Amino acid sequence: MTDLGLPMLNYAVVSGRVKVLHEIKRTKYDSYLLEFVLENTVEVASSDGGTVPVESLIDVEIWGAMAEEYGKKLTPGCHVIVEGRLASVVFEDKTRIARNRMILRAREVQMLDHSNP
Amino acid sequence: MTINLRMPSINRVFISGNLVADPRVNILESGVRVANFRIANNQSYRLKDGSWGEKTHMVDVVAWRKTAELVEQFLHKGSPVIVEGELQTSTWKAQDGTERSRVEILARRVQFLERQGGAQRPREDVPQERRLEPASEEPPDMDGEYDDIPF
Repeated sequence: MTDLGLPMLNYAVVSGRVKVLHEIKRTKYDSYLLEFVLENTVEVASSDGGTVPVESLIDVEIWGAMAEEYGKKLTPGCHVIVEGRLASVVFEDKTRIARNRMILRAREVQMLDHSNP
Repeated sequence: MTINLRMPSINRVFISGNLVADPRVNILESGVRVANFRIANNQSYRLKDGSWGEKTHMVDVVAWRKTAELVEQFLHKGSPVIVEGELQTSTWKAQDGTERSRVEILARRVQFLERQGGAQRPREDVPQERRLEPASEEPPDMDGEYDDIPF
């Protein structure tokens, strides 16, 4: 019997609207970073047989040359599909406790609005 | 030719990892079971000198109903799993009254990858269709407890 290792799997694909777009930054490692909040809405079955929209807000990071490119193209309200990996970043909350925040680190971004190719 | 299409609704995640602690399971007043667990996902990346580095990312997962039952029954600290689901924002009021939120994976399917010598264990649970779940209590605080990963 062959011993198998745990597959290294980390893939996420999410569509939505750019809700909050931050200014593009240059990091101390001399790389560009663009962050935005993606609003994803899915229709979920409710107990009365219908559906209700459920919104989620997901923090997205784009790095490097892609950040430069989309820093010029993205605007709040744009419709996009983001593919990438989940990552966790550590931050301190107001009480100085270290907390984990999950983000989506983009590998590909597709813009769906006609006015933005 | 311009085609005006509806906005697609896409939200899908596939992630593997090991549980950093035993899952926490609560039974709500309605009788619905909810399981929360955190998995450590390892990612390799190439360093500037050409060698490989590794980083571990912590991902929170929530499972409901039958999936939560199976998670409680078969998963424990260190269990290797593959989780399929979708990203969702969970919001709640903390004890100090402030509104807090976090992004987590709502598990639709959990594959249990650990080989068991004798005991029978399902290879995976039945995929769950998403439905509107009852409002949950404040989810367990999983930060600050799992600094030492034993594996």
